[in-house]
Amino acid sequence: MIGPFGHLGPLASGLVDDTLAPEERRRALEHLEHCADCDRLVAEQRRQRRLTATLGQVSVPTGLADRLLALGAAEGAGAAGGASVAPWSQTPDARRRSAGRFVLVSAASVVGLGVVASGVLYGIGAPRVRTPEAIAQAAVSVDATSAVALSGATDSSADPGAAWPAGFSAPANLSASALTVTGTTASDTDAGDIVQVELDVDGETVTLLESHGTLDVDAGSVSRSVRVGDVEAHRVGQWWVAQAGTDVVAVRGSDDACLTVLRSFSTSTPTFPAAVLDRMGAGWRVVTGD
Amino acid sequence: MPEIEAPAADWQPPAWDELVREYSPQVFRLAYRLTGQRADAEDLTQEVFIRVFRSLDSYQPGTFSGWLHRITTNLFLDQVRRKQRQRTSALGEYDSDAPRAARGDEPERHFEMTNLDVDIQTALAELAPEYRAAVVLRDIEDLTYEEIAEVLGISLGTVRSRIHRGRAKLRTALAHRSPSAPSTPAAPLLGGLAPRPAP
Repeated sequence: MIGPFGHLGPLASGLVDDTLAPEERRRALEHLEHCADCDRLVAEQRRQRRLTATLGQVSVPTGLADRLLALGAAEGAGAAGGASVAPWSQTPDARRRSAGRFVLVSAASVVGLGVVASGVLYGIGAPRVRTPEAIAQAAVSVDATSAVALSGATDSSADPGAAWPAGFSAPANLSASALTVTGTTASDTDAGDIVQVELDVDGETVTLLESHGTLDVDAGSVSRSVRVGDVEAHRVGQWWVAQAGTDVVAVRGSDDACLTVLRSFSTSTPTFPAAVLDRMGAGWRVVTGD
Repeated sequence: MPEIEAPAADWQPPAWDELVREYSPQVFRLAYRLTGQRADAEDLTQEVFIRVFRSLDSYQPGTFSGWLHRITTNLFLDQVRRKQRQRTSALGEYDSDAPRAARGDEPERHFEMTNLDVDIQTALAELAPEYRAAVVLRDIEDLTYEEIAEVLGISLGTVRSRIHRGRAKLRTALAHRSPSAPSTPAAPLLGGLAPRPAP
């Protein structure tokens, strides 16, 4: 059988790949005897196959295998045959920054940014399922004048984890010379509280929002998802958002600085590691649309 | 991809680290050829292994590489379709491709751009995802039409059609590599070394 209009058409690729039935192949070859167009078509298919096949080897990113091994460790060695797998705590952390990289940013500048207030919380809405968009939009649709400082909020030149308001997942291993934490609470008690922090990370400003709730990445416009330490970070607009224990954290700044901050939440996750794969599964659902 | 031989009777899932060491380079390579971006390929590879980890116990012995091809390719196509849906429904603020375009200076981008086959990879990346998947599975991964049909869940006729059209589009995009393509005149670069015209 010859294709439409008396020419080979897609049969040309079948001929090149030697997948035609014997009789089909015989007829195709017979057709080529007197059809210069199809003869050229087959030659081009053959040339293109060779050209595509010349694509060189791809170098595998350093540390990829370690990160994949860590996936197995999250649900405990043995679940997939029980081999020596790297624990989460040993995940390579080449990008961890040195001590003293966080310096004081004035409280005034935090207020000046006007990040959090009750308006945000109405925008996010209850129950406390936080979509990345809602977290991201919190930065631009708030009224700073209604913010009320939480009792736990403080300025600190010591451990930022100690400065963090009680009841919120705090960063760990975040060597800081100083840090400003300003918490705000909303008049709508159903919506809960939001912590806002502004950091100076090696000269780069990072704005952080943290709120109790579950990150709903299924509904989000996530452009990219990466693992940093133990958390899955999702890029939404100008923000990186992640689930940190029972809280949702959103940070804005340079990619490198944001991911460094989110990484510091890794070991502070209270439900780690059982919940990690669940959250990664949620990230996976973003990809698959399940 | 090499196979882990597995007798059906007493088959046990391979150890996780064995599976990762053995297959992650191959999965990453396929992911890179499908996505065209190293960062995306790494993300996709991770998603594949999450799926593998969760499904390993229920996996029936057979060809591991076929299984991985299927997971990788279908996760990629699902991801593309999801992004297309977002693009049509979003207001544009969260265009998922925008950050990619802005990161031309990242190291992996530099890596890609300095490779001699960058035009082939670029042409491949501009193919429709369904065509790209078929061509990559055939011409790079060397799968048979039957295997591709199984991976993609399509008929043999559709496999043949996608490969044919995919190659034809690549051929058009890479016309400069054709033996019959006119070469760049050398005379302007050679200056005084160019032969003098006959009097």
